[in-house]
Amino acid sequence: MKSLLTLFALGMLRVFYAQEYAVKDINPLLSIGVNAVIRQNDTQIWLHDYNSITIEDKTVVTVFNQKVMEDLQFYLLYDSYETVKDYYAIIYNEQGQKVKTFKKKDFMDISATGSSLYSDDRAILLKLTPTFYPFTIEFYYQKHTSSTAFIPAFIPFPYSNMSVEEASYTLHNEKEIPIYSKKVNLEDYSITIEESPQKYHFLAKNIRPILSEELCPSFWEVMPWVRFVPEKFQLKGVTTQINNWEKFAAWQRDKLLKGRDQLDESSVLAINNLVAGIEDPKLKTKAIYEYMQNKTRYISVQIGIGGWQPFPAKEVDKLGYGDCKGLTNYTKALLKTQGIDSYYTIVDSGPSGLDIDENFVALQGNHVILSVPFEDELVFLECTSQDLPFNFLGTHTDDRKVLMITPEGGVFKKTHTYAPEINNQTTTVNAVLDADFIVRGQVESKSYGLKYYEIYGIEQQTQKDKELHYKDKLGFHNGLAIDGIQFQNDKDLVCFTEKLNFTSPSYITKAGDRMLLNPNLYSRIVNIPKKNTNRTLPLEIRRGYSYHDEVNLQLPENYTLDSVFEPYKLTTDFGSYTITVAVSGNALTYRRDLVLHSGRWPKERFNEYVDFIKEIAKRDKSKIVLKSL
Amino acid sequence: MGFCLNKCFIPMKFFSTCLIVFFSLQPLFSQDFRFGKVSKEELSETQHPVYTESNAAVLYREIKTNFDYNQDDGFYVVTEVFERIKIYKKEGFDWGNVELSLYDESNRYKEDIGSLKGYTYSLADNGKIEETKLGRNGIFEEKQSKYRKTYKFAMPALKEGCVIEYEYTMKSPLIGSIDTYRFQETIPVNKVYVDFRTPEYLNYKNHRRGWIFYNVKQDSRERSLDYTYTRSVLETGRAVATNERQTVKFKENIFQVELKDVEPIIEESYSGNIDNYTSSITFELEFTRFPNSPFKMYATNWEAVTKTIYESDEFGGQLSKEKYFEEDIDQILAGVSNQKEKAIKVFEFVKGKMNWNKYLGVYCDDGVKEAYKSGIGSTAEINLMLTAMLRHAGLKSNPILLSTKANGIPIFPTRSGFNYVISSVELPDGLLLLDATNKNAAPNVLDEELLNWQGVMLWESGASNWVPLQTAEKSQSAYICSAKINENLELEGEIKAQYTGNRALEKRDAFRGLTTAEAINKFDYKNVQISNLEFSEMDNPYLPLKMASSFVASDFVEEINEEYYVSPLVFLALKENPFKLSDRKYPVEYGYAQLDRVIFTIEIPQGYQVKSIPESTNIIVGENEYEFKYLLSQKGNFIQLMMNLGVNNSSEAAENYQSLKEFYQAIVDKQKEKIVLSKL
Repeated sequence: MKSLLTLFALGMLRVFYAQEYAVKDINPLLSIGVNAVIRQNDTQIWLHDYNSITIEDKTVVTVFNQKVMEDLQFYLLYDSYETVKDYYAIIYNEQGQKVKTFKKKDFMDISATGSSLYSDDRAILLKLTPTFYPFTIEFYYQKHTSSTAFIPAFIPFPYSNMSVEEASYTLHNEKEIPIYSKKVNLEDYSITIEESPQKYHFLAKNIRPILSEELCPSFWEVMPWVRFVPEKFQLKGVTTQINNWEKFAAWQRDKLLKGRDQLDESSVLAINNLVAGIEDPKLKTKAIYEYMQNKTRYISVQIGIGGWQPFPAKEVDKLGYGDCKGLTNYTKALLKTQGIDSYYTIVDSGPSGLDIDENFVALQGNHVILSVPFEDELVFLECTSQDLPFNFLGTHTDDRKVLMITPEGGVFKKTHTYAPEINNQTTTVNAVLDADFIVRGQVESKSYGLKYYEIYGIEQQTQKDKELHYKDKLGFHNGLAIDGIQFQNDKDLVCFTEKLNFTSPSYITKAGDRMLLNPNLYSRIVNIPKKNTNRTLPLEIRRGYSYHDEVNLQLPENYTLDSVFEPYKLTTDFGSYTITVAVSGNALTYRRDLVLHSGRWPKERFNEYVDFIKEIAKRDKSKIVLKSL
Repeated sequence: MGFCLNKCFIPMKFFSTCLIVFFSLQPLFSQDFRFGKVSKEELSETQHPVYTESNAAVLYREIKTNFDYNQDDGFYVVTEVFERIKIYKKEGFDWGNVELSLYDESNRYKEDIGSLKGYTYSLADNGKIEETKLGRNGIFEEKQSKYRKTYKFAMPALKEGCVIEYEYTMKSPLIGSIDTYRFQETIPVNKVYVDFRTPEYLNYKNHRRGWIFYNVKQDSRERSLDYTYTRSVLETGRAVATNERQTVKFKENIFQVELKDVEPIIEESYSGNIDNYTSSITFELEFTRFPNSPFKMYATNWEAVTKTIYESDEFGGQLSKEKYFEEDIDQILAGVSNQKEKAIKVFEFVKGKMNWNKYLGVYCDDGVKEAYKSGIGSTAEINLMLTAMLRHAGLKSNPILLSTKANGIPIFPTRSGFNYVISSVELPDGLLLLDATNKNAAPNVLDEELLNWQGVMLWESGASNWVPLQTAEKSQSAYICSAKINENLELEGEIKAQYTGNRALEKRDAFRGLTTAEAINKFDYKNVQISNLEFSEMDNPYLPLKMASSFVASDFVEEINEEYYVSPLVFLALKENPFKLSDRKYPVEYGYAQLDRVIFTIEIPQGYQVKSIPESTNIIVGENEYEFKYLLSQKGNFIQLMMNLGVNNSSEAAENYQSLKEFYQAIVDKQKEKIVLSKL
């Protein structure tokens, strides 16, 4: 009897499951206006010990049409320290009935090298061709690993175009080992939290998608997420115990960096020769940085713990290449030969990179740079670039908190911030409008700060691409011909000068017997964000810029000015804008000053910002009217 | 060897000045193209003598192929590659990262790289040559998929001005698909030498690409080959294996190409697949003729190629299967007698039932039966199944082989020249081309990626003929807009659009399945806010696709001196000339013939009158190959603009580039002219 009962119960269970994923059960509030709903994302993590962890993940998604399949991928990553225990996928029909099962043999096992030259990471991937819509897919995997440094995070909204019915996350801390957590934005999304020393549980339910919006803060700043790290952990076979930044730094220093800064005697000699005669340690550092830039190139190779440990300096010296860790450590070693101390520095890179969080003792960031302390300032060196000026950081690592690994421990510093007045572009145009309506002129434009960073790469492009750059930038001049392109790259001043001659054959707009002419020949705002009445995220402009333009234009003899626009000035929280035209005889001078501030403003002010930009774009096209005599 | 690479024995001082000028394209120093013999002159060169902007140059490339034999595998290909590359600038460092994709099916059946040797040379400050060896730590092997692996190496110690050298030997059992040997790169190739030797048993044809002329020198010689084989011998009643050596003598055919000063190839926009124009040679296995074995043909001409494909089980064999669908098709076609109706019914049935797994190729993987059962199939499975069904329905249906744009134009007969199959059906009023892999497809509208060159139709009889893939009908878009100027000087109005042919297919591929919010985001007219967006006939590819929406365009009216200056075409104007380069070497590829039409009506605001409107114009290039018609008129309170822009060719030869560029310039100029409205 007993077994029969069990069978019966199992049968019941099957029926219950069969209906669980029926499409009709989705709350219409979640399914309306989206092409997929995440029915369930359940992550169960068993932290057995500091060096043993089991990860189980089940994702169930209902897909309404083919289009959304371009965004959905079903894969799991692993490396040689991980054992993939199990994985499968099940397809359910609209009624929630199981129609197909994908077993291990139906998956592909591929290398996940990404942009590295080599990496030992691999991925198991399901290549899915749906045969009907809507359908529901359940994807499950379980893996075990000794690497506990990166416990999977709780990220309830992995896709910005799908609703979430239920996302849950449970971490079972079986031995109650000390563990640190970082919880972000949970309160904004009514996420249920249950915590005890043995178990951490998070649950998010019935949430509509949060679309990414123009000029919004980075995903990690506005979305809810949680990360855990145990105090004692293992990383690709290496065990560590860390409960403060001193210990963190000591781990980096003693386990990952130690002994890797040795150089051959001949290399030391070469550096001695290089800096012979230079007294100032900062100038020595500059000479060594430039030496390194000329000698190396960036190549990423990630094998095992090598993903967190630099290549030895000796090897980089010989090979002439390395990744960010290798090149930074190498530069550090070169500086050390001259008794110059410098610090390996961890940073979260990218234009929207985050601060390294001082309150969360864990491996953070994705990049390293080198900090060199001097009496008057802290110098930062981006060692993966072969052409950046000394002590200059672009948008890749500017203006954020970084962690320096010093002999005394981990020290937090902020990288260079570039203010709008530094990020300046000053342009002078001298041009002549001929009687044949052709505008011919010369441009000289100087870019500083982050404007320098935007443009300096053009020097290395081919003549064709240089010309195309200007033809694109000056797309409002049709049939533009360009010659005499010249550049000057002053790395000491961080100033990039562009010079060029242009001929614009059809710049003038004809209207009856009059001609319309926009004296703003070079700088125009062309990209206007779209207004959004349902904006959900704040407006964030991470960096400010300033522009000064002066155009001197000689007009043809047989025309007179019919009308000239009034000077215009606009000042708002977002920036300021001024244009003027001064006429003297048959010549005019147009001046344009634009400052765009950085900052974060509440979502309600987004449309105000759009209006500000729109107004500038409109005024940028202000025309004067010429009349034939 | 027989080929002396070091031909220039005359010391420099014997050259007269005029000779140097005459030979200015040649390096001014003798070069020794043996491994390791990099000269100081090569190292101290700071820019390429001709292409001064190049960031690197292939100083010398040598590819030598011959065949070896062993008892287990038979003949296999041995290719020795040697490259000497000069790097002038940092941007050329990528030439120091080398990736080789290898076939890797099993231990027995795979390609292998051996004897890899690499050095980087540069000039030290003391004028001496420094060399750095490529070490084990710079070489990586990575398994990519079941059938492929990648062999990678990163040359060490690169700096501006350095020269790298590497050589390796590749062994391959794939005698039927030998890599293309390239003479041209995106950097200049100063000298390249190919030496291809094949035993008389294997006959290869060679095929050339690119606009650069070169000779293939042919020769032959006697060759003997020692090999060991295992033989079973009966010894006192037991079979014993003994190794025996044997020598065979045979004729070896030699093909040699030597090219100097090959200009770099530069990719330009609208040029399709650049490999079509890159100078190269490919050796194609034509037939094998082993002693005591019958002559075996591989490919000789397009008929033979198509015949080989047709006769294979994975192609022709799939066409003869009928049982698996018979019942379903008979049911669908019950009572239908019109041929076209039958064809459409079957086509729609396959489109609905089958789901493309994105695999290309002309052969079936799992076969049509399996594909039909699972509802998932490759290009070949889906369209061969369709062909079989159409034949079953009593229609004249044949498969058509073609090459996608990414696969390039097969300018010589080769089985790998084709990578896609479509179906066709011959009706009294003409031929219908059918591709059932795309759910948005309509008969005679093929994805632009497929509109490449021509296709080959394979008849049931085994015969074949070439067919054009482009249809005579132009793809059209037509816009009807009406707008008025509101108090914010914005143009506010309604737009209705209709798309046919490829214009409709593109829009369906892009928009079908998007939510309205996503679709609005996808319309990226600058400074235009779209609302009330609605598509109709999205799901019916037999009707034109229709779109309707409201818009507010904020950037097209300017007020100067109490007068309004209005851009007549608003956001539908061509803003820039798409052709910016001063000249080009390759044809312009439009993909298909097209006609875009606009009727735009703008209401004159109260209290205003027309001061001037742009003059109407009609520009025709060639014999109606390009047409731009732009007519403006005032009708009561409205200004009406009618525009036609037609392109009758799907591609244009490079020599007509200038007139094409001027044509577009005239359009842009005309569309920029403004309507002026003044106060009454």
